[in-house]
Amino acid sequence: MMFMKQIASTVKFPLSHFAAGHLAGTRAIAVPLRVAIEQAYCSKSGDIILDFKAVEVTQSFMDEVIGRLILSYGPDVLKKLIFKNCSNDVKAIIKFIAADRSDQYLKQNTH
Amino acid sequence: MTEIVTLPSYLTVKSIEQTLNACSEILDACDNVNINASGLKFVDPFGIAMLGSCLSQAKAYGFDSCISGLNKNVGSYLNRMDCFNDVELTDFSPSYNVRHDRSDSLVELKKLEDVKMVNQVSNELAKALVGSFNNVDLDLVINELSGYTLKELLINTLQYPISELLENSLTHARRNGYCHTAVWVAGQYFKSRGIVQISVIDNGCGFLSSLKGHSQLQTTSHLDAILTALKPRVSCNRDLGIMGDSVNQGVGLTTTVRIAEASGGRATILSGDAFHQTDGRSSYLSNDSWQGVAVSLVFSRSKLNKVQISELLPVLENEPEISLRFE
Repeated sequence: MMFMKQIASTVKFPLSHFAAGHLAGTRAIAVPLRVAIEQAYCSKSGDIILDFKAVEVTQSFMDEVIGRLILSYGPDVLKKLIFKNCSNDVKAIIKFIAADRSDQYLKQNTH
Repeated sequence: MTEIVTLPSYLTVKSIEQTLNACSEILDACDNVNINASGLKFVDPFGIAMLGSCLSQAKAYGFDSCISGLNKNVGSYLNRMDCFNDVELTDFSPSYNVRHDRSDSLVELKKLEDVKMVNQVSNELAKALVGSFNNVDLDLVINELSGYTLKELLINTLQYPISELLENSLTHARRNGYCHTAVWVAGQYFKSRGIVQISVIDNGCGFLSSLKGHSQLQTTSHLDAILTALKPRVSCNRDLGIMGDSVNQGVGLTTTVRIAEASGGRATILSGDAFHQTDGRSSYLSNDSWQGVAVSLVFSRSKLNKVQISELLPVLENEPEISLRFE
């Protein structure tokens, strides 16, 4: 995975690899990133760093990454993720998706 | 036998009924078509995308179209917007000698069929539209933290809705048997009015088919489907499927429309036999319908740099507080 950097047990993903200009827009582009994060998470690596330096995202792109991870593994997956160099808009999108999808997961997986 | 279709004076989003009527006549002809454009005075990106879509679809069905009676100005404009790729022109000769470089304000009609191209194409479209916003210093660094210039900020703001609409057309619209859906997009910056207009048209399944059976859809009308699709967190597939298909959160279209409104503009959405405009006008169409979804967005150029996505996301209600690690 050329867009992944590994230092010791920490895995880092620069999001600039997925941007056209400064925006990572589509779910289609996000799929390989999500797959790579899943592999790192399932291999019980250390922290997984997503570096948003000079990158903005659409809600769709980010939901394909972390929204699907939450629906698959539950909100606990977020404990392994570090979101680095996020703009205010990126932070807001991540917070929204995390809350919405965690709520959806909990409602579907609790009695 | 050849059918004759007469174009109205205006192929625009403001004349949506007349525009759709002409397009429906072209598609419903199910035969070769002679298009009389002698009365056509003005076409906007909505009209270009609709006309281009119809001509392309007619050609795909094996029917020939020809256009006659174009006046010089309208013909030159449509030629510049690449509207004539699927049609024969009679009594109008496009000038191929000198192509005036209007890449700074025009985005020629583009047809997309591959969702993998959306990321790149949406950036190209946004860059082309921002290209010549005059009377502003586009190289001015507007955000000290990110280092974004005004130009980069404006491109991001336009690229976001273009990306969302194009991907929606090449995913949602391809459900329910419409796997060969294509999407057409055109755009223009109208300097005299200070507005940017972008239109995205697909020939897919439409909102009513996409949302069929959804709990939020109260009736089986196309207008209800459009209004339901605009509600936050309404999507045909919020849950993970058995095969791990892509899911949607139901926020993309909502945020896209809010971006247009936040910039002082508006959205017009047509699907089936109804349309809705965010500045208050919704209506059923008496005779015609559109198979698919047609969206027109208008943005006020002067307010684009004030749009903040963080303020446009749906409000969270009782969702749990989630601890996140930001650095």
